[in-house]
Amino acid sequence: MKVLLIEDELLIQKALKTLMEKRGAQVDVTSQGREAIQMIKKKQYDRIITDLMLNDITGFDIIEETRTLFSPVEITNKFRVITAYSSSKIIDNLAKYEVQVYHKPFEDLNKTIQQLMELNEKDYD
Amino acid sequence: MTDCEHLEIQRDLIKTRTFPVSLFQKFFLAIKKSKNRSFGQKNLKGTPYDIIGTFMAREFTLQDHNIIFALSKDQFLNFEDKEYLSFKNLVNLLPTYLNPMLMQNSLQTDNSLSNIIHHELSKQIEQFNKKVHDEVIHINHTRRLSLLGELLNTFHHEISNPIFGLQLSANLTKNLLEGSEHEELIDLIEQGIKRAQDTLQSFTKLYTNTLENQLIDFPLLFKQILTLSKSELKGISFNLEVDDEVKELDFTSNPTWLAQIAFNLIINSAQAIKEFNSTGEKNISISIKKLSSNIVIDFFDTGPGISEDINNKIFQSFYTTKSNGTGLGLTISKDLAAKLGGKLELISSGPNSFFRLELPR
Repeated sequence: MKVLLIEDELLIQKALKTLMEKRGAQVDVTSQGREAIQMIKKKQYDRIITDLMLNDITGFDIIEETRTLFSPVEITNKFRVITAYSSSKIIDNLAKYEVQVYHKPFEDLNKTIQQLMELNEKDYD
Repeated sequence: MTDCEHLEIQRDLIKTRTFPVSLFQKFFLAIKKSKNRSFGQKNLKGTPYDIIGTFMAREFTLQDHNIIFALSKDQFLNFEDKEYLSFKNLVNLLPTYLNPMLMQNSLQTDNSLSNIIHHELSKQIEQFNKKVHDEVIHINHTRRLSLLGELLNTFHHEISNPIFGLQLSANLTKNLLEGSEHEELIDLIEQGIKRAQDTLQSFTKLYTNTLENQLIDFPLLFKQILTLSKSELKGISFNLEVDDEVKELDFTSNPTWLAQIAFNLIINSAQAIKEFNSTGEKNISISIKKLSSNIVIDFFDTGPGISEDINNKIFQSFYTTKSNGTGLGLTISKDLAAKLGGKLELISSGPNSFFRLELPR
């Protein structure tokens, strides 16, 4: 599976990348939201995992900027948000895309990684 | 008449001067025309007055005399509405005192006017201060909390992200070092990370400036409070007893306020116990039970207690026995208890102190 990980904390980025690669994923990474938008436009990803508070824009902005590429169901299935700080406004905004949010730190690391890599089978129907 | 009198009171110092009526009239008219209640230096151009900073002024006419009354704080800050109100009250009182003096035509030499102004003004200011005082405590506390909340949000994000990165990296490294002599090191690193995360969590949870009531889990709440008071509690044992009856209840309250009250009392107890310097038992006990329809939280400590001559003062603001205390801890706690619809009382003051926080269900 092809994963794009957007995370500006390098320790998290590198560790998550390694952990997912160990489980067999191909993982592209970036710490820039704008760069992520370009990558999403160029390449097909099965899963896009984004931090919410990035240096340049928010993870929510990335979804908004690329939503024309996907159907609403695809947005829900493709995107996962990981966040340490959750302003209720952004979480509310995310609710309209029904995107799953994971809070950092992950309570059960292995379980969360597994969930982050779980694809909805309907994608391939 | 070509000259007029100018009487100036600076605190207790009284100065009198005379200057041409024409200048006075100019100023008098300017004040009369002004809709603005406060004046600045620019309004004084061409007048002989040397008032510093912003000032309030009112003009009035009594028995063929034109009178200007001006009041300055020697500051350049604008006056608050309440200060203007005090000033207005004072000005309204002045004719009562001035009329008899003007009849005797003794204004220029009589010190009693300055005394009266001085006396009335202090009375007004005292009243004003008393009213503002309580509000200020409350506002300061709310402001401090919301500022703290904002700071904590940023702090939380900035700290928890790298800590999480460390946690993930430690987890990765653990697999690499499995079976090696360094494996234990990683365990220690992970423990340290966990502790940092827990502390951060406790802090953020306790200081979210929430106005909403939440379901209270007493053991969890006190665990968070204890994490934060850990350094104060060194060498002191702590007991928490929660009645089964309470555990079964769905008790909702404001967790932030509740935690702050408990935190204040625990810190006070811990500091008192330490200062007491006894070799006896050092313990803080908290028991939570149901009493008729209320939840009652009792705080006991084995400290020296509170001596009788001060036990009626401890809830007063700015009263403190600590060298670096603010004297606000118990005032705010009592205030918060009232906001929760309950009350905080000192039940027994010594030896050992016993506070009771009673909250409605």
